[in-house]
Amino acid sequence: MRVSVDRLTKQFRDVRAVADLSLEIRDGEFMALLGPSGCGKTTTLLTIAGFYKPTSGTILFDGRVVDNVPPRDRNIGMVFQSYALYPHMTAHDNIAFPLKLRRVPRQERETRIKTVAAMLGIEDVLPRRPGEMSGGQQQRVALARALVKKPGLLLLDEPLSNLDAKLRIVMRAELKRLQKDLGITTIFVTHDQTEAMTMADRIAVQHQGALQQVGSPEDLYRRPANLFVAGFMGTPPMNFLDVSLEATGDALVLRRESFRFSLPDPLKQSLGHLVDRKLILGLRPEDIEIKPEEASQAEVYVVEPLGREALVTVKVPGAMLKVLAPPHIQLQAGTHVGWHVMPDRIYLFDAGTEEALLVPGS
Amino acid sequence: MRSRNWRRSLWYLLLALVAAPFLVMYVGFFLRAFGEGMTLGIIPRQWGITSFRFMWQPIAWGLGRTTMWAAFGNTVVFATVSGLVVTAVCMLAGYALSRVEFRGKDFFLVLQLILHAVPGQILLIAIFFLLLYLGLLHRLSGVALARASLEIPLGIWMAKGFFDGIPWDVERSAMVDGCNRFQVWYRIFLPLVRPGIAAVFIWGFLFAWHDFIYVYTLLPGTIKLMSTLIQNLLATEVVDYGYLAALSLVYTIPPLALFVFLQRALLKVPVFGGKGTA
Ligand SMILES: Nc1ncnc2c1ncn2[C@@H]1O[C@H](COP(=O)(O)OP(=O)(O)OP(=O)(O)O)[C@@H](O)[C@H]1O
Ligand SMILES: [Mg+2]
Repeated sequence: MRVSVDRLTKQFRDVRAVADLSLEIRDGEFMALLGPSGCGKTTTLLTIAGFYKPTSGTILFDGRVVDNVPPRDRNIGMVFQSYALYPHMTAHDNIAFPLKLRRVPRQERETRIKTVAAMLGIEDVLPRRPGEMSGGQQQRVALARALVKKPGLLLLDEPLSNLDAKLRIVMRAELKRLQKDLGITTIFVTHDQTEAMTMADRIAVQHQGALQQVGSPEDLYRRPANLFVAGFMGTPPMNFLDVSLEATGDALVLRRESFRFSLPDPLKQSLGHLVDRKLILGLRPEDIEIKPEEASQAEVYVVEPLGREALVTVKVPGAMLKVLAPPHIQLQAGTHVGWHVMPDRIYLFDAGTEEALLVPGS
Repeated sequence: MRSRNWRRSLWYLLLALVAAPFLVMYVGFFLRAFGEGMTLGIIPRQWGITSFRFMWQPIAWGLGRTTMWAAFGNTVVFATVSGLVVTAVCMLAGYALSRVEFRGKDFFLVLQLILHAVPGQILLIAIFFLLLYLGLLHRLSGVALARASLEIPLGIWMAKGFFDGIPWDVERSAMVDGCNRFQVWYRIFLPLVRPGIAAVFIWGFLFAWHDFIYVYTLLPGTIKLMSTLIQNLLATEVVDYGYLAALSLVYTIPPLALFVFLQRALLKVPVFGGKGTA
């Protein structure tokens, strides 16, 4: 099923939960709706499901306006963050419930329950009630209940957020695989950018109700449209430094107190018109190189070993930088080190509009 | 440590003193019902069940006679009808007030509280005429309906409270699964608020069971209930207190039995799975 969200706005009294959001979800696509807590993801999802009426804008399924179609007739499957299983029914009856309402004959019903239970590995818990299941089992039963009616659209509202870290990684992969196997158009709401990056075909980033950018995980990471997306994608997040662009002789220099960064020739031409503007320099932690043998004003503040690498916080005048350093570099807190940035790895943003002006590879 | 124990004992003593009159009353009640030939008005000479003879003997009623069982049966019907009406209305209204948005909802809720604050006796005359015009006066079912209406306002609040406890996501799940509003109510919400159903039913049942003023004023003398029967016996010249105590005991048992029974049958609260409900 193809889903079009057309200029959707949802207003609750004084809160604008969704603001002028337009989004196309292709047939069979796995779309992640990503954003920080309270940005309106759940509201968007519930409006697509038909629980909220749009304040303005429309929603189309396969090109058909569904604004007046009640949730039960939208052919959707949904998994809620709280799973929302029916506590008075066994897992089997929970999964059977949508089929009973559809008057699917008993024989077929049992076959379908068996198939979906096998697919999700929950045959053992079928006779149990939700109160007697672990969080992971409940989550699978909720997923089974959503899938058993073979919906045209699957809506998932942070289905992994109640699982422990290990199980979450397992389910991440399983869910992705399942979605590909079944080919169901899926909208997956999450505030976890890793989840969105690892699972989705495309990600839509939402902030304060408004859509910031839509694109493949690679796209959002490499070519963020603005400061918000740049800061949201990637862990540890991108470093931001307020800088100004100054012309010194025939060189273009990004300057911030004692920090100076001369732009290489190819960039000089494309950024010449930005001289004297207030800019924000974005540096990814993996793009900064620490030179322990050099000394500068930068001081190692804290070192956090992560196993494969170490996350180093470096104090530079007026800011803290997060740097991913290879583990073989021995660093002590308090020592002064030098740091370098590869000129082709920098991001630049307009300090006023927060739009991206320069991203690597452009 | 010591002084705390002291203070504690003092408190218990005080509480015991406060409780004493009630205890004496209940003990006296039982002694009278099962004792025969009282000395000093309270110490029985002998145990027996002759006070319970109304169970197999007719009771004098005006110039005629009646049986306890007729009154008992009427009371059961009266209280059950009232309880069922209260339950049905409150379960529907409570759901609507908990889940459906409509104009004047807040006003309606406040109105229920105000209605509850109005004493039932004030409405007696109005209800008399209402029942008269509806042709329900002097009918057990009609008066049961009137009696139920008095408990509905607070019952609605009780029911709403129970429905409020069910997460929205459960309702939304049911709707995505294909339920219409009625099916959500009937197939998902009612099973989940079974303790609430029991509570509201007991609420409606109990008040009707113990009602005197409504059945006394709105029913003809030929339809006897337990409360009017006891009143009738009290109004005779020679009051047999043992007899009266025994009858009152029988009058008290059904609500208690209902309580215990419903507790067993209905107070199994389903546990909501998952975390972070909304
Ligand atoms: N029914 C409602 N009535 C009024 N305001 C609401 C309602 N639902 C959501 N909001 C508000 O709309 C905004 C967006 O809420 P929403 O639940 O969509 O956020 P979210 O992105 O899902 O957040 P989270 O990640 O915490 O679940 C919030 O400010 C919230 O307070
Ligand atoms: Mg949410």
